[in-house]
Amino acid sequence: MCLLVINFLTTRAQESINGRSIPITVTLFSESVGLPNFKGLFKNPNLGIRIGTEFYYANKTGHQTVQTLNIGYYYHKDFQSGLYLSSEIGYRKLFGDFFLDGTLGGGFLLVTSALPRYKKAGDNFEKISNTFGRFMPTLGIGAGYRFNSVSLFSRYEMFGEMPFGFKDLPALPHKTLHVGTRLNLK
Amino acid sequence: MKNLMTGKIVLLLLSACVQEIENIKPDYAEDIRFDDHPKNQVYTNGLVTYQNNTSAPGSILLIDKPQETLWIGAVGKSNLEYQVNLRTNNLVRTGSVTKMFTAVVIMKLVEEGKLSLETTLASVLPSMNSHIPSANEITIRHLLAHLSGIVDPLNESLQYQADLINNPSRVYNKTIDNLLEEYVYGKDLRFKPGTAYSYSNSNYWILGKIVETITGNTIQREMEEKIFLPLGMNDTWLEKRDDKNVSRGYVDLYSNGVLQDVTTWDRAEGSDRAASGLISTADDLRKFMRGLFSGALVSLPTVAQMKTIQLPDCNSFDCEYGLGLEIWRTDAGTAYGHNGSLVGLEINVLWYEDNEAISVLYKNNGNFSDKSWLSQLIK
Repeated sequence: MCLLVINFLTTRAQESINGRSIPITVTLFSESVGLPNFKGLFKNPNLGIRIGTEFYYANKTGHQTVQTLNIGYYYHKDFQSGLYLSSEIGYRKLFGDFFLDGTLGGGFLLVTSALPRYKKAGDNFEKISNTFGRFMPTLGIGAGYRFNSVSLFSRYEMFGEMPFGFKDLPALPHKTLHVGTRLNLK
Repeated sequence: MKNLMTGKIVLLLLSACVQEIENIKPDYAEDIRFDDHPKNQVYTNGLVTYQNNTSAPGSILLIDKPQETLWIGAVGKSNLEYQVNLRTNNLVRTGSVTKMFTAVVIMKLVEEGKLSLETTLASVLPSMNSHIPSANEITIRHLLAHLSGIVDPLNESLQYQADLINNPSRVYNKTIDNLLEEYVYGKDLRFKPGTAYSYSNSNYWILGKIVETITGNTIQREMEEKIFLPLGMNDTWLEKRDDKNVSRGYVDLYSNGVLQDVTTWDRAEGSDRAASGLISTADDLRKFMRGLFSGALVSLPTVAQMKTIQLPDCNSFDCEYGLGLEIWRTDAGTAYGHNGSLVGLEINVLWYEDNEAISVLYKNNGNFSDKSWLSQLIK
């Protein structure tokens, strides 16, 4: 059922860019809650997929300034799933066909919690939908290599769930490790 | 209209993508009521106000005064999914209240001459020499009184807290050795042992290991033989045992007035460990407090030691801690006992010196609460 949702959204995304010569990025990623390290990203990973595109404010021989637009989904067992729409501004430094980049952005995260939710109703609590929205700040770095019209890359990205508030934390931090490709479609 | 329908379908599909955590329907067992108690209305009013003020799905209050008959009240729900009422004899997780039990087991071993309060950690667990700094200076007394300086992953380590969220089953399945290796070993002490106070669950994880090393039995079995059986605590255990009738835990995770069921997190931290794993009932906790402070478990001189603040120059409320006992200055006089909290619950168990009353106050919302109102009922 999750795949059906992703397929539906992917199709819609493809339709919206139909006929345009813009890059399409597709990444598979591992997600975990926590500090900016690699713990929890490899053993029993929580998997996700992200599809996006990018536009160029500057597209020079040695560097690019880009604006990305992404839609992504991840499934974190026993905690939540997240469907998001995000956009980032990024700077990419090119060294021949090798490149490094950094991005900063934000988006809307639609969380579906595995922890049932209840709201006060009179003297009691009643169950409410376990799907809710959150602002999603993002910060990422990546590296990759271009083969003509195809690039392969890896990205490490942190994102938050805001507002949060438990134990006075302003955001619940998540980390993701992506492996992906960028196709420059004609 | 079409967009609204599409949105609803997407939400429905998203909900179907996530499997909610398991919640087995509890028994709708009969409650034991104390409605005929002369102060039933006064006590119930206090309890209902507390439940409302703390936005707890349910709350239990026990008051046992020598000059009165026992009263226990319960309001609200133990399980919101099935709308099951919280009962006066409901099983509840007790969090750090467990530390009193572990301390009693240690003090009994001291009375039996198998251990001394000045025994060093390194002498009883030699392997600690290579894992914990100054293990040859840290004593049993330091561990019991939180004077060791050993770090506390549960309250200090963001990595531990992230691990709990990421995979509570994995945290649940970790042994004490796993926990110590992952979060404690190799970390610097916060201060030189014996010179300051810093609350740490690690102290009681290690005390559990010490009990097992000295006796050759599990901490669970020692607690059962030394405490539960002699006092007739028939609804109390420390071992890993899933019971659908244990009250579930809730917390306002996003600080937006919405409670989420975090029982899997409480299960991970609140099972089988010498620092926070006890499951019990209000009345069994009463039996423990009455037994401890009457000298039925350890001698009264030992109880007096347990009640004594251990940090020599303690000059603030924060360091008023004995040997496994917190010291509370209340309007009803000095009280001894322990507070317990997990992500989804809070419990407070006290014995009041002036009138030898006992209170047990529980709620299944993990937020911090003001309990000063309780003194008026105890006086």
